[in-house]
Amino acid sequence: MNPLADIATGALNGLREVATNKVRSLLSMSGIILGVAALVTMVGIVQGLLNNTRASFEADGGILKLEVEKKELDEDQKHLAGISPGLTWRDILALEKTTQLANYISPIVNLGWERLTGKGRPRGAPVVGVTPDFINIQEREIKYGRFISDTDIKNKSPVMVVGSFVPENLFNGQENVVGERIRMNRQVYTIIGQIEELFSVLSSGSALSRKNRVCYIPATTAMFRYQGNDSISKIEMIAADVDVMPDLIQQVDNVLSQTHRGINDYEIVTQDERLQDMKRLENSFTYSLGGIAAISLLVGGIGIMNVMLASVSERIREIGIRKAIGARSHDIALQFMAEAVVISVLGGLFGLVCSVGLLTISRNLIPGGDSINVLPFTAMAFGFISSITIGLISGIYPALRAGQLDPIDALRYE
Amino acid sequence: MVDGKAIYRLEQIRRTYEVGGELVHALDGIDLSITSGEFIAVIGTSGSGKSTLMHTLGFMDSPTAGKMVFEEQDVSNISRSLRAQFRATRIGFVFQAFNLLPRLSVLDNVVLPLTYSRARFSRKEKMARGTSVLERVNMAHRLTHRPSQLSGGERQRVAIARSLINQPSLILADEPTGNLDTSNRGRVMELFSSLIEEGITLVLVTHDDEVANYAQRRICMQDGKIIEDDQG
Repeated sequence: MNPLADIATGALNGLREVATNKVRSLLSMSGIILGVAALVTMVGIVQGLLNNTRASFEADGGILKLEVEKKELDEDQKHLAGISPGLTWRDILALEKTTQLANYISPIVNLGWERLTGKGRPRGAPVVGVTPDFINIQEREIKYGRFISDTDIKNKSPVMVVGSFVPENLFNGQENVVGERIRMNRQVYTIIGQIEELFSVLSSGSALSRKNRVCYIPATTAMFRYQGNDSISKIEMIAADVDVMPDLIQQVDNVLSQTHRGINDYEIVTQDERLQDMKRLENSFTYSLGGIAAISLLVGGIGIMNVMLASVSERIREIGIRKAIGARSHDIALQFMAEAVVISVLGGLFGLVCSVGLLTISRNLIPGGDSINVLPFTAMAFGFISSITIGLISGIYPALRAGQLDPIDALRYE
Repeated sequence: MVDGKAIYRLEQIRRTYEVGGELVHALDGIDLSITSGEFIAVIGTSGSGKSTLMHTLGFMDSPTAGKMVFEEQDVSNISRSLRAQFRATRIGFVFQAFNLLPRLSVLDNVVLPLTYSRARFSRKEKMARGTSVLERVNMAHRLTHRPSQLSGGERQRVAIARSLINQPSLILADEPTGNLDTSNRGRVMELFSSLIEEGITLVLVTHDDEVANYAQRRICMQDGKIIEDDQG
């Protein structure tokens, strides 16, 4: 016999055994089926979830985003608290004039949770003053109308850009609310734009859900028509490139140091920490999934080994007959190994089919589940290869036991 | 059809087992020469060493001491793998319990030894050889049947066909008629006789004097020794 013929014969015998003992084979496969299906399904869902988290991170400006926030003064500058200017519109003007390493700069003027009135009953929503660059910082899409323009900033126009919450809840689900008027604290604003809705696997209560509720007005309108001063909550900007980030931080620090006359009442925050958190989350998912998959596949492997040992015991006489007519120990061992591998390969394939079904159901049932990949090839390949490996490992002991049987004893076995 | 050429020679063969701390001499200094084309019946009471002699001749067991020469090759101390190779290619076995694999068809049972013979046969060649030997034992009409669908006599004829598939030098039959009724016993022995005429060498173990009478040479064993060798 040549090795290829050995393997082909072994696989054929394996298939024959599986076909002859359908229920037993299916039971022995069940561990592998569940293990592979669970592994691939969970990886698919988690990948979708992480994709959404990544999308949310990217939608929020991603790694290129830089924020300047207000900060408590250090101990050695506490006595300067009275003359601390805080973040102001002057900082924005100075940064826009001098900072070429940033592609976009926008102030954030948080007006807080405001009571808005449209056509129905009033509802609360966060209102934020921003400049035209903001739409590029957040990478949001305009569904209808336009975003805030330079002219709106210059004229301190009473205009508003709304998220998907407003048409749904303040205008009774009206599709396009551009041109409608909305009232905020006795001031009337004209809606000039409607932002495309953001979706997430994580439904209500998530950061993305909150984003859909936010309404934007020109920063100058927020400051001068509403607040009555040029104070801003924070500054957001997008670096031209990851490589220029250290220079940009230095540049922003230099500019603000001048506008703040050396008072260190601000801090520059990058997205590094958030990125690290996200990576930690990805890693913890990977390790947890790896653990679950390893346990499932181990259980599957024990199931196969158990069934193969039972199969060896049941077929001792057959082993004796085969040896009497010339089978060598390794021919017998190979036959049982091939059977174990056939069981695990079939189990792996059934597991993959189940996982595709489960992922399709998950994609349709989970809100915003569009990001779930129904065919996560890497996970599928890993699951399938793992099932074959488990089959090989769990088949070794029963196969060796079968191969070592003495032909005379095996033939006498009743 | 004895052609006078010795195919097997056993010199002072001993096979000793340890049972419950005591040594049992299953074969105790066996000297035997088997000539090509011979039909030998080995008779003796239970425990006389007949089966051990069969297993030793059939490379299923190794002697504790002594010399075995098979087809002019010293096979006294050969490896397990080589013993398996001899079983696959040079020896044919026929058992009392037929020992056919129940899940395989008659034809697949018959060609199974070809799988282990280290020679490459296409499926077509295997089927042709299988059909040919089944024709020799008048079982060609039962190719696709399972052993469970055959009578005892038919099963034994299939087992004989399986022993012939590799054109072995020697066929060893261990009580081949032990599970058969009188008429089937007669048919199986007629078949063995016709095979002997075709040049097959056969060593047959039996309790049955009537069966032993078919043989040209009768060897009687007792306590692991050959006590009588009647060469007719």
